[in-house]
Amino acid sequence: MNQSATNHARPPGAGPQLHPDFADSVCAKLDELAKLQENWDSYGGHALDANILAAARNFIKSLPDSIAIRPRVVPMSAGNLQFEWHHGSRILEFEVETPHIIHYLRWDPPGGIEVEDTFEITDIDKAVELIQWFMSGTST
Amino acid sequence: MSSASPLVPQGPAVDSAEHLYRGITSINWWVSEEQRPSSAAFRHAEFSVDIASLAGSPQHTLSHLTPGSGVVSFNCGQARQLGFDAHQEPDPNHPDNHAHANVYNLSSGNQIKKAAQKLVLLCSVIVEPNFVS
Repeated sequence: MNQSATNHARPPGAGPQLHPDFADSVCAKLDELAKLQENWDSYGGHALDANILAAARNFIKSLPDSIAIRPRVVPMSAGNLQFEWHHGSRILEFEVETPHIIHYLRWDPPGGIEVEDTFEITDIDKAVELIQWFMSGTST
Repeated sequence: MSSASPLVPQGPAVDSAEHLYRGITSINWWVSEEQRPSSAAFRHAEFSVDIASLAGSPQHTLSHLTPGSGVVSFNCGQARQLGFDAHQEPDPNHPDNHAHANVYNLSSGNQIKKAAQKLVLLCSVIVEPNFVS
């Protein structure tokens, strides 16, 4: 057991890796998360909603190949999920709140950016704009 | 946490000076490259914590979580300023856990995710998750 009280010091290393095949790998992760059972988080979390999973798959497959930074795919206790991109203080979250709505967080406090809003899951242009914002800050 | 619980606090408010332990019970809730939890660990209308002074140690919290889980800690008063209001209440799944409290997220609309992310930044890592992949 690694036990220590620390704040969030980012370990040294390169920026995020590019994954041109991100759609396949994300869909594989979605398949894995689809197997989660009730109480998967020990706190009464619900199994993921099949309609949310299907909408998330369609969304990922709709993104252009130029979006090459693979997101983390994170289950939520309510039975939905979110895609997360992290690079230091810069964070982008796409929470698939319903099969039709993405609730997003665009976050970079040092840059004065703390934006939260929603968009239709079919609004791929909006999704690409946000992901490109994230990618623009990770090219170090 | 019980999903059947009402979202109105029933127990006494936890003192703002207290620190609270939150379990990181899924590998998906741990952003290893940044050594911090995902906001998903706090993206609930209500979530369970243990009051650190009553728990005595993080091992108390770990004892009723999935093996490999981690523990992060945050200050109750600072969290309350973000809209996370902790109340000491029993855990129906672990009625012997005298340290249990529920944290109620008072944020709504386009403030929910920001509040969860700000809570992430309050957290100190007490026990890093160590799930077998």
